[in-house]
Amino acid sequence: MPVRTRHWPLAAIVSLVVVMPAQHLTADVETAGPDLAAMRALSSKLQLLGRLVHGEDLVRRVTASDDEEARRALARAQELWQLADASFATGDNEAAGNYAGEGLAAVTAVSRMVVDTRRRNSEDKARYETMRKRVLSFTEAFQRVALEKQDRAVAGLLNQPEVTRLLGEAEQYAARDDYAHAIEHVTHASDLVETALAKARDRDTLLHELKFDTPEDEYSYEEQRNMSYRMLVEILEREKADNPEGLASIRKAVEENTRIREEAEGLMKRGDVRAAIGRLEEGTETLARVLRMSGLVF
Amino acid sequence: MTRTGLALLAGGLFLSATALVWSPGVAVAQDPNAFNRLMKPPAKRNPPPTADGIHDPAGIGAKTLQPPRESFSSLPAGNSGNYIDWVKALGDGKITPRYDRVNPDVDPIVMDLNIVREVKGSMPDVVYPHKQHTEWLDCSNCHPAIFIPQKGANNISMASILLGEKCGVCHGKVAFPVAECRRCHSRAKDKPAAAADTAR
Repeated sequence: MPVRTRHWPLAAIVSLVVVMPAQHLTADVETAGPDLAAMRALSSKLQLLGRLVHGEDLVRRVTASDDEEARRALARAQELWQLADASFATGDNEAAGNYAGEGLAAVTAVSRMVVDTRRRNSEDKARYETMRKRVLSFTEAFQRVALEKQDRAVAGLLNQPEVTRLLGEAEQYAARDDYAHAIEHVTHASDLVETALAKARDRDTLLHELKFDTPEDEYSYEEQRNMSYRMLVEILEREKADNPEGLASIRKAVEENTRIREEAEGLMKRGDVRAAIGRLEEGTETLARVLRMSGLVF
Repeated sequence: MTRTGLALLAGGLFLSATALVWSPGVAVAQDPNAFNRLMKPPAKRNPPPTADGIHDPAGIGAKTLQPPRESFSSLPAGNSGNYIDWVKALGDGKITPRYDRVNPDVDPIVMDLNIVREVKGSMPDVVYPHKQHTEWLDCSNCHPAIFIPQKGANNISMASILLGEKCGVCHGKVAFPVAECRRCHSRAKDKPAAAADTAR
């Protein structure tokens, strides 16, 4: 079985990459024209490059290493930053942009050459601990499923002794700060548990019934439901900001709901929980109506 | 919350073109999309990386990336976000995303478990299909940090989702917005729970 690395799956992260400096998105830049926007973006890029090539941590790591190539690459990245900065100062933005691009590529390469072992170790430790907690949590979930199903075949889906062994060995590696091996073991354990859980639950449908232990619980649920609808209506209110007729209908519904909610709170204080629940349901329905009128399909 | 909230509405709150609008017949006649100004017209959807407001237009990478409209052209349409129904695209075999960042041979552990949550009021009950989620995501993306893998241990409400918690960690940000009510509220109250009831 291939070893799973347990990062966010590639498919889930590709859309999250943002590469543009934050200043580039500011409203004043958007309104000031493309030239100024481009200049500010370039300025941000130069500042970023400057911080990277002179960053204490990177310089320390490179200096402490005996990697001559990394030292040369860092010196080149610093030189590129100077060239970019000088070009920018003289108004040659195209050259500045090219030097900055090269510089960023160079400093990234340096960072890869001289790995920050302290940081990597700390990240690996956190990752190991998270994974271990997850395995334990899923193991408990599997045991609950096995108990619920009362089926030996289901219970046999998980090789529990193997999971225990892998977790034990992982702990020994972790105790020696060997997180690479610890993660490898805990990943294997995680695969065993998740596969067993997936098989045990295959094609199941779990029903979470809406049952309340007490009327007070139901009132609390209704309060939350009413708040949810209020939040949806608030969004609608912003959407209709320039439509007086639409806005008036929304505000009327909101006011009606506020009045009903206050009545419900009063009923609750007087101990008439059932009536309070009923009033809150009416308030929520008032908000639901205004959402439906706006075109929300439900 | 403002931008996200408006985006949610823009993404699908006004799905029904024939629905009652505040000024019937006026704006609709001029522009079928006018009642929802924030929903981008098709020509303005999925701009190229150099014009999307996300990537640095001066960056080399932005120019070398394939424009979304080109790469999305053969994929099934969706109602919001980048207007692609990614779950359907995967189900139809239109895309075969690599599951693991490092190892190309890793297959997802797909769990075919539906969770049905009954809700009060006129809304249909919620069906949460693990299958469609685990085809994309690792169990660890949600468990145990966002959802405790135990029945009854998670207090989920639309309010919490709108505040970016629980389902709202992804939905409304990188997955379809909560305004597409029926994709989750998909089980009519008088029907029995069945795997076929799952969201698309």
